[in-house]
Amino acid sequence: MRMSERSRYWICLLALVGVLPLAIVVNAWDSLREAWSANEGSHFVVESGASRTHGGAVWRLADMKRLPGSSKEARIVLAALEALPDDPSILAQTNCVVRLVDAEGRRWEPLSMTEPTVRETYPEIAERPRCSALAFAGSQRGNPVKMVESFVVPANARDLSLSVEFTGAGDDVLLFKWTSS
Amino acid sequence: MMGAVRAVLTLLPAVAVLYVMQQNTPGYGEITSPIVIQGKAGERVEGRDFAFAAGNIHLARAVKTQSFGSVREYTTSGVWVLVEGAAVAKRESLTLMSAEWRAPSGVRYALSERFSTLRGYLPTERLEPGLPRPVLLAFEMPEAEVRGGTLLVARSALIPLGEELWIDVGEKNPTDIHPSVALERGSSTMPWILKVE
Amino acid sequence: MSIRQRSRLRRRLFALLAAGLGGIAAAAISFAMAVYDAATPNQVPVVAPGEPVDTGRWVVTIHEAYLSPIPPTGTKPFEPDTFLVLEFDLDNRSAATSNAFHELISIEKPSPAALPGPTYYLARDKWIASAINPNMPERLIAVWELSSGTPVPQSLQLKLRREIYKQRDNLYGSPGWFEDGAAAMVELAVTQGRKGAPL
Repeated sequence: MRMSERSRYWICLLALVGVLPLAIVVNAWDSLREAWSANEGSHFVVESGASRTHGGAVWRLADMKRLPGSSKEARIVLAALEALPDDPSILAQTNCVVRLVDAEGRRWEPLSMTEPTVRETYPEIAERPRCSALAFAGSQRGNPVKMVESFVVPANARDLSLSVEFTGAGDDVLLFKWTSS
Repeated sequence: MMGAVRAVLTLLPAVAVLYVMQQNTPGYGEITSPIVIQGKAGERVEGRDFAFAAGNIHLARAVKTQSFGSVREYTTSGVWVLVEGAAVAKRESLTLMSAEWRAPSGVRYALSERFSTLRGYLPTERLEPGLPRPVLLAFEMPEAEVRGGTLLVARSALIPLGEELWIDVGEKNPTDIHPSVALERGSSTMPWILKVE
Repeated sequence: MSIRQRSRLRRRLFALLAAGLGGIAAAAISFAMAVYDAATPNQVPVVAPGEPVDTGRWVVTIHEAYLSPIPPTGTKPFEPDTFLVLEFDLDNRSAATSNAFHELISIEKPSPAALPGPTYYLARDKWIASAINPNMPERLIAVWELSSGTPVPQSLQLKLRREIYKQRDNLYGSPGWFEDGAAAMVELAVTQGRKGAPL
């Protein structure tokens, strides 16, 4: 069937309405997928006191303490994290980024140096390494790696949980809930 | 003949339109420039990631600091502008690495790097969400550039489309210039003590 | 072939020819310009010390070069050492504070590779120079550490780099300063110890 030139013109013009947005979506497909996957990620919520296997170890939030901070509004939060190596070769390639998250979604980065109050009150905990590849070097099966991270948060921060983001072996996030305290 | 004239006549507006469009296309620098949030000195200016309030502003010919018992004097060929303010992070821990003083002429004077080890100095303070911290800013500029200045505060000067607070200093601007100002070590809640000499 | 078809063909041929000739002309002009540029290199002016040189982004005034056993900080090094010291004034002509002056001055003679990059001090502070503000000329001191074995230069030929501002660069269309050859050469003798007026 042969169409007249006039009808072909209109069909093409109408097709543009659909084709143009499609072209934009196809063009931006990679960026869109990246944005979706960044939002999704694989988040695993670990309930208070529970543990979870990840990256060659069994992870557990052993303790979370609140200490008075340097000012009236500030508190120091001490998070004791434990990893029981399952497969030390995988664990050695793991690296972690730790953050403290509250109910409102605010995120606190850990302190690079332990506060003096922590060293006075819990000298044993303060000596532990922070969560990093360095802590896993030379770890052995069945020998738990004990780590500590400290944060400064406002006194009104509620429902704190520890987010451990793994890089290296399996890029996942474990979100450790903590209810007692 | 008429055909040629008509061709030229239709071509001319097209060339004109293209020229205007070329001249008005925003450059890469403009497209990726920070998102400006306007505010005034003396009040809390809210960004999405952080808030900042500029408080007292002091002008001085020289600034003295103490470190390890020795006094260092920082002179200037212009004038020191010291801004005492407070900053707070809102969503995540961050450090405000960039601050500029924009003179009415458009010239930008960056935060002085000569106090980069001073406690409480803006780029040395890690800001935690929900915990406001006092911060100190120091700029060096010719005396004529102080009047009518705008304080620009951002997380970094390099992040495209980051937010930047533009704080109109306006009436907060002092007129008298102190011969010397001393910055002494303070407490953990107020990291410095500013003394006019 | 009808008359109409033939005239259409001719028009197409003409357009093709015009485009081709235009392209060839553009290539020829560009080539000729390149040849002309290569045949007539820009004469870099030689400037005496003490004369301000406009390099685009900075106005530079070279003052003096001398040898010194101690760096400008005044702290004597543990092992005896020789420092090649260059004093100059720097005026930032751009619209923002900048520390991009480290590539501005380079030693052309004696051979440039012989020395590691200098350390820049602010004369007023006797301390490492940080960024320089616009409208605030500063006296700076560049210091090269002459490791033992490096021949001590009797004179210096310095190259001052020119920088031009582009509203839109060729890659992203972003504004910035770009290198544009040499602004001037400065020749000066290296003296033993400082001669100039006290800072």
